[in-house]
Amino acid sequence: MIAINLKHTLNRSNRSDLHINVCANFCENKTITGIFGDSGTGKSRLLKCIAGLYSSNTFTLNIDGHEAKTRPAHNNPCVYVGSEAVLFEHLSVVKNLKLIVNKTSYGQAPLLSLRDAVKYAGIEHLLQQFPSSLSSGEKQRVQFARALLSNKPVVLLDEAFSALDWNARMGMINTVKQLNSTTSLQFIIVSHSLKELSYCCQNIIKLHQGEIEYSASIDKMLSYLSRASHSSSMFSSFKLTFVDEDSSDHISKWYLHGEHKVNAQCVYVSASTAIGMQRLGLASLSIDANQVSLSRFNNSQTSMLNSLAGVVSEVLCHESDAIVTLKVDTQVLRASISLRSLHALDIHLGQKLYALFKAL
Amino acid sequence: MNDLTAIWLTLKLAFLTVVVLLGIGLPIAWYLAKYTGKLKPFLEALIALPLVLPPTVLGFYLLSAFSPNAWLGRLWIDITGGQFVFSFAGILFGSIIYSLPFVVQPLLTGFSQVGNKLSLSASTLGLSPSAQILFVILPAIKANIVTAITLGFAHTLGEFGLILMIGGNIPSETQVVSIALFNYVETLQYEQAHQLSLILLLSSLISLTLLYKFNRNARPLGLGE
Repeated sequence: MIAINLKHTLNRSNRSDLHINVCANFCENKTITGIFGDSGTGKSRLLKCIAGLYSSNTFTLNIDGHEAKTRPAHNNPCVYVGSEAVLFEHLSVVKNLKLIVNKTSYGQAPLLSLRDAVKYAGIEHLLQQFPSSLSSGEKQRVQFARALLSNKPVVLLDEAFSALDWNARMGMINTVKQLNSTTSLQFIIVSHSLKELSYCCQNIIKLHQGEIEYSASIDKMLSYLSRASHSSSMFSSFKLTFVDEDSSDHISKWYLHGEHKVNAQCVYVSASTAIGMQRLGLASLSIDANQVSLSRFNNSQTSMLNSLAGVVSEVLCHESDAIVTLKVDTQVLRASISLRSLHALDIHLGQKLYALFKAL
Repeated sequence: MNDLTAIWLTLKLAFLTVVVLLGIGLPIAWYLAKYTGKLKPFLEALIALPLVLPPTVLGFYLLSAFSPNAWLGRLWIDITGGQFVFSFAGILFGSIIYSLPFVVQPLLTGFSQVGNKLSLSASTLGLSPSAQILFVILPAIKANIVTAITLGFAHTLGEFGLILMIGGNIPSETQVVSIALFNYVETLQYEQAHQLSLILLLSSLISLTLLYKFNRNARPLGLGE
């Protein structure tokens, strides 16, 4: 667990100063904490301050009950990984990594071997390259591997995989999850994409103007946001368990993860999505609320493969649309529908409805 | 024989000048690249001054300051037992000031281009300040260091006015190639003058050619692309 009490003032030219004031526990019980919020709310600055890259007015950092040194940055137990990968251009990738292994002044025993870091970051084929020949996504992978080799127990990821395509990004998020559960490393992740955070963070913090606006699990955060009329970016996230795959049409079948497997409903997923998910056997998947349509009957005469039965647990009307929340088994599914459909279907609490959507 | 002595003296002067200038130029450039205070334009101007100032002005001031009648000159005599003006130490000191901008400017450009990001990135990865400078910052500005060395060296080879002012024309002490050349012309020994001129011309051309060749092949500076 990481306890942080931090006050910092960011002087911005031609804008009012931003006062960052955060006092909270991160990564409780070995979970991953995610931070999101609008641009300019101080997410990056907060992480940089935590890593000791800027001096703060007040800053105490307590890791697993031990007070940690915060500055100078090389003695700080947190390593900052930003979206712009700053590699050592004069060294090949492998020498970039070896320089950190050999010269880092932090810690005694290495937490990860060079070989493992390379494997986790997926950069085996890039070792002899020079940074100038890498794409920005490849640079981000190298930067991630380098951070893993710094011996520091806390890794701060600030949009660190933003240059990767969505599938590769999910792969790295899975890697982070895996590292979090199999090693002593702890992670705090900043992203403007709540969806990205929903894949790996058990606790999510919404930052607003330098302060914590709301801190909760992903489910609570989504219902909090749906009330604040963020319907365009609304989505739901499922926990799924793999069942089998039909190689003839590249569709794989997953159970909604719950206590009772026998009655669990199925979700169909395309093979390309499934590949990223299968690495861990258990995975979560998110679906945008505007991809889900609602039906009062179970309709098999449609191209939508997925049809999940659920009960309406909440209806929130905004100006132009409504967010209908269904309870599907033990999980939550949100659909964004027009007000006209809401009235035409006469949707009300406790009603049984079917949620339709394409194979994910 | 005289020529060889002059050439040797010139090389020794240029070499020592560059060594001393790197020693003081690196910290100056590092500090100036980080410094953002009000005095920055003034400090930059001070370092660039020898670029525009006639060497004779510099030579005249040094001559006045270190003449045996001035207190600096007396101090020098008390410490070393010899005169500062018309000595090798004198022309070395003059060269260092005269070539200062040629060494500091490329270094300053390098440090400024590398910026803060590289050292921040190295420090969060656990590299101590000395390791950052040694293994990350200096290698990143390698091309600029080579430029600084070459320009400092070549520029010292071409020095004339300043050395004539404070060094005079003493064989094996202050008579560098450019002074020896001046001597030949004054005494109408054109053949020797041609020889020395050619040597100076070729050595300058070769060192600059090597510099441009090296820097073209050097990895692009800075971050990102």
